Amino acid sequence: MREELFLRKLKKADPLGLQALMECYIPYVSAIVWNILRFAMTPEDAEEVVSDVFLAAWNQANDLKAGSVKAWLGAVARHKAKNKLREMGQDLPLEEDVLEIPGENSPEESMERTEEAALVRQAVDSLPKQDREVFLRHYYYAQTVREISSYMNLNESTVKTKLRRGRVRLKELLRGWDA
Amino acid sequence: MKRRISDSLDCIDDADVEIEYSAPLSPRRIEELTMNRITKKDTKPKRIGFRVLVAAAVIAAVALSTMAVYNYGGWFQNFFAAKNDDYLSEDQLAVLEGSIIEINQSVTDSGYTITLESVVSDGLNTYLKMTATALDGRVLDGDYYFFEFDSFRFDIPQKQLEEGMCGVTSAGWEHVMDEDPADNAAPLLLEISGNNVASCEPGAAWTLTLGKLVESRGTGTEAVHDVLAEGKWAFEFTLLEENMGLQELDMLTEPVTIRAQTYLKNSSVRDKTVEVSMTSLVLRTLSVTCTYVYEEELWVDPVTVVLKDGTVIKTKFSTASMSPDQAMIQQTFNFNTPVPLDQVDYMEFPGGVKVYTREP
Repeated sequence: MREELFLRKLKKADPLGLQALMECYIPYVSAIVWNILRFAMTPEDAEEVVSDVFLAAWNQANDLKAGSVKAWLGAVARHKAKNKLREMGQDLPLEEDVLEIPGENSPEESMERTEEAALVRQAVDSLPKQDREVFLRHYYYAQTVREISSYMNLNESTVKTKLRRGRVRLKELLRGWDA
Repeated sequence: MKRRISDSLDCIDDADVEIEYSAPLSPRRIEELTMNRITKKDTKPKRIGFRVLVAAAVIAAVALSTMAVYNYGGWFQNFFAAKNDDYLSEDQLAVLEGSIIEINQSVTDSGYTITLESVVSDGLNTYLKMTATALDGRVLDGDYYFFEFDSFRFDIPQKQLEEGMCGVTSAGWEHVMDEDPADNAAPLLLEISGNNVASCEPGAAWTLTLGKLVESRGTGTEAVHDVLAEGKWAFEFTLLEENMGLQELDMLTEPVTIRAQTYLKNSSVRDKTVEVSMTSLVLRTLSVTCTYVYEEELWVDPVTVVLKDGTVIKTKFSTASMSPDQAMIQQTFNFNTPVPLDQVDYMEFPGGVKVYTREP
């Protein structure tokens, strides 16, 4: 079923639309959820989180737009899986995940977060294509260095170098904004 | 300030990176789970949780210590007190006493005696209180286990069934307090809802046939069910209006418009919000029945009754059925506690629509 068609069904609360959506995207959403939660829970429990993502799509069908369904589901899957991890008091085991940026959180935080988000997008998009993919695979999709190395046919040291490059770029832009 | 890179990337909408699927998750289970969650019907819970049972035990202990004579009224008094988590007022007790019919029929088969002791009914919402007794002395712990009949059937007058005027629209077993969990007897309670249950052809006998006595523990997917006995326990009883002290309060003088939701065709998924005309609103002591002019099934959010002293009584679940000509729908909401009709001030519907009792 074409994406526009199943979106139309989904927006009319037709269960067939949801079924079609799941047929297309269960593998993708499962991969994201499992990458994040695999060290913290059983596959059976993670299945519930994947189900939560599709339930969100069912309940917020009007937020879905043709052409950006995959990205929407990916973002929701990350959000729900990370929240679950946080509830369990655990963190993602990522390379130097915490970034130190000069300055403090301000009262106008929500407005500043919007600006920050734009800079983050700019930083990621300014990376060379392969660096961007490595950076997102690790920090967005929670793949390990070894997995990225295997999927992309790169040395682990090369992967680490590209991750460092991404961190530096992100820090530069955020520091400049904060200053 | 510190930022987690993984959190900073929350703003990214990425669809370019091809993620390899290597998760050991079952797509079939995910699909089933999700479809079950969206199609899960709004059904009433059939079992009272253990927390409520503890409350029931406490309330029963207090009530029993002050009660000189224990009778069926007392049993139901404790039952409704536990169900509503509050004592019954004097007015509610009076309503309850007037709604109890003692039956006391016993049938023995397959090593178990089942006694249909009493019925409480307001004409539409009916509770049947029974006791199962194991003849071999086996302990039936009704606090730890939940006893029910997996197989039961009502036979009601065929003529009225055909006319759609009389019938059961839902029936379920309630887990209730066992006064003596260490003996060989356990209580059972069957709750039935229907259309004009009590006003079937006057004097017409109902036959309840029970077939498979089951002992369960745990809930949901972890529940364990054991069949204790298979047999045939049949009871014939009559719900005569004059024996029940039935009361009705007709609340409407003219139609009122309320808000409801339609269902998607052949589904329990709610679709769009509509305005419907309610043409009849009849309040009884354990339920309230609303009639809407509409040609398809509707969902109406639970309604409340407000008494003159400000007490709010909520409805817990509802059943609905179409009229035989498919032009109207009749919905009956059940209360968790008896309602003294002469104390009712008004009823409130979704959207803040209030219907006041008519001046006498």
